[in-house]
Amino acid sequence: MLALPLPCGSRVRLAQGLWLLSWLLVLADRLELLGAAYLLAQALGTFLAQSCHFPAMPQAVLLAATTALGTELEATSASCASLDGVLGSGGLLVAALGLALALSAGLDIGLQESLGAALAHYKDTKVPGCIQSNVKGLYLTDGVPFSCCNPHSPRPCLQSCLSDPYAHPFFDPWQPNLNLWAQGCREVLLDPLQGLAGTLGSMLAINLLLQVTVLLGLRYLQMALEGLGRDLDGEWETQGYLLPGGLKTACLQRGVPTGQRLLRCPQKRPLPKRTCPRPRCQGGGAGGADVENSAPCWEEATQSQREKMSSSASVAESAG
Amino acid sequence: MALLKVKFDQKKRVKLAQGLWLMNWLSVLAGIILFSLGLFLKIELRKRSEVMNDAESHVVPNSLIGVGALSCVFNSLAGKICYDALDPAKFAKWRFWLKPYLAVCVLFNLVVFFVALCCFLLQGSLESTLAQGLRSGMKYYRDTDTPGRCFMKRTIDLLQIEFQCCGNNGFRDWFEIQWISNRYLDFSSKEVKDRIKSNVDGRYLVDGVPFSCCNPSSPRPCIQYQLTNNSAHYSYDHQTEELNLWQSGCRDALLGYYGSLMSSMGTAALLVWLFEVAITVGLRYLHTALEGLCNPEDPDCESEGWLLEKSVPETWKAFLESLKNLGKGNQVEATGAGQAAEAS
Repeated sequence: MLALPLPCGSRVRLAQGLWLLSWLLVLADRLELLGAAYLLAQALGTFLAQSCHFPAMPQAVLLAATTALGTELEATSASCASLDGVLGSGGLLVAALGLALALSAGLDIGLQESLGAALAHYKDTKVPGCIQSNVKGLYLTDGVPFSCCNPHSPRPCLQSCLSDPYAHPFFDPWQPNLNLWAQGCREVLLDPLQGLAGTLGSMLAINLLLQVTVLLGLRYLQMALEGLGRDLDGEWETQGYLLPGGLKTACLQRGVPTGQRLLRCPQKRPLPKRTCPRPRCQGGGAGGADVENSAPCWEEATQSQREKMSSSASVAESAG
Repeated sequence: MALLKVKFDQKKRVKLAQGLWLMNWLSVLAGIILFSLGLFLKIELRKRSEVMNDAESHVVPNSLIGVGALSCVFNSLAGKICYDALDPAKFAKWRFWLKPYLAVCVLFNLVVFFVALCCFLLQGSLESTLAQGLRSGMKYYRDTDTPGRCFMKRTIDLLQIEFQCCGNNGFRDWFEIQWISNRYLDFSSKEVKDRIKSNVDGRYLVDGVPFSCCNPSSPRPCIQYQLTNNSAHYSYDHQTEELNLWQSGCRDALLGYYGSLMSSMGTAALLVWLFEVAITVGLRYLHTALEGLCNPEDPDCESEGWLLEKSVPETWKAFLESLKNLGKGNQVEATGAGQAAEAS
């Protein structure tokens, strides 16, 4: 499926490109780790209600980035075992990306809840931890704590009797003035957190794209190198591909039910036929060896490939 | 009798030159650090020049900047000399300049030491500048509609919040000045009229403080007004209450801040001074070792290096003699010129 001829030069360039991409991914993962750790610290440090699930997002990003870091370091050596690792970490990244998109909305509500609770318990300075709320007689005033005062005001701060226009000379509470801070704490806390979460989400998306590219490249390189057989320094052209047959044959191979099979009850799978291992890469001599002869040998050779090989063999016999 | 003689063979000379080259480049780095420390102190002083009446002295940061820049220049030059020292051909062009350069280095080391001392000793002048500046700053606190002083209130408020201080020496300084502008006082009210009549200058003095003196760690909402009246507030004793307002004065807080900055910079300058002295001593040894080569063409020759050719009192006598001769030389020339003029 999606076969691509890869001469020696292209193979080298592909390997080099993959190596570079892997190191770029390592860098991106490190940045993501830092960003997620910072976001987690910010989210846990500010007022966030216990019911808010937002901290799960930076935690997921931390996990995904750590796993991806490990697999990408493997991928820099372009080993075949790293292919599975890349798949696994890619899955984690998708999960983290999904969480980033879903949980950002919950941040606003979480902050609202927690700030409301914090203000309600502002007075409870003697009762840390388990909090008692006083329902029977709330002492409400039209005043604010001194920390609401805006130092940029030209007038000494007016904290009490704010709704009474006659309480303070020349003060009109309904006119805009610099007496108190005009913004609410929720929007001041929310904006940077949301911005950071958005940045982290877009970094995750880019990371995922790069991982998919690396995955495809590694698969092509692996298939092309297998075609060389034992002689890895061989300079002839080999084929790189994603799957040896079509998608359907690959699913059948792995026992994944396709199409009609999905509707039927699971049947007993026929035992795979074992064939004798074919000698590898015998036509290796001068330059252009047959592509078919240098194809890798599979333990469970598919029908189509076997037919191709037998037909080419007969052609060679008749020519020779 | 030479001072602190050391024998040098080829290997030792090479090692000395290489070590000195490395030390010189590290010293260039140290010079850059001193330069940036001086710049940082200058910026910090400028940031708060409003509370110092714009009268603060910039001697310390300017001298640190100068010393840092000079150190970079001198040490990179010395590094180049050390690099060339092992090649007799290249060293020949530096030979003539090395002695005056060493004299300049000694002077520079004295300057660095002096600057390091200044960092510690000039903190006292900062205290008096701060006291005066804060006093006038508090006086202009209410002048928010006077051009040139309209931001003094904001400056003082932000200063008290940031440094967790109140007033000059303490919060009672606010009781002695009128910090509420006349613009916001209702002169028809009896209370205002009484207060203004109660003091000679006709100022509206209150036993209250601005909101920026409030301490957020207090368990109770901030009490800003009627601070000395225990009956005005429930369960309040102004003599034992400590958490309500910031207890320290802004002069002490600022002095502590700048003092710690300047002390750490002085320590850094002293360390750089020690480093420079070591470099100068090493350079002197290298100079005398290379000068004392018995055969300049043969690099493997052994030589001796010393700090001074003769002992200290003899060197001092020789130096004074050379100064006298310089003076006498001028006199001889003058008389010679006079005689020649008479003869002709």
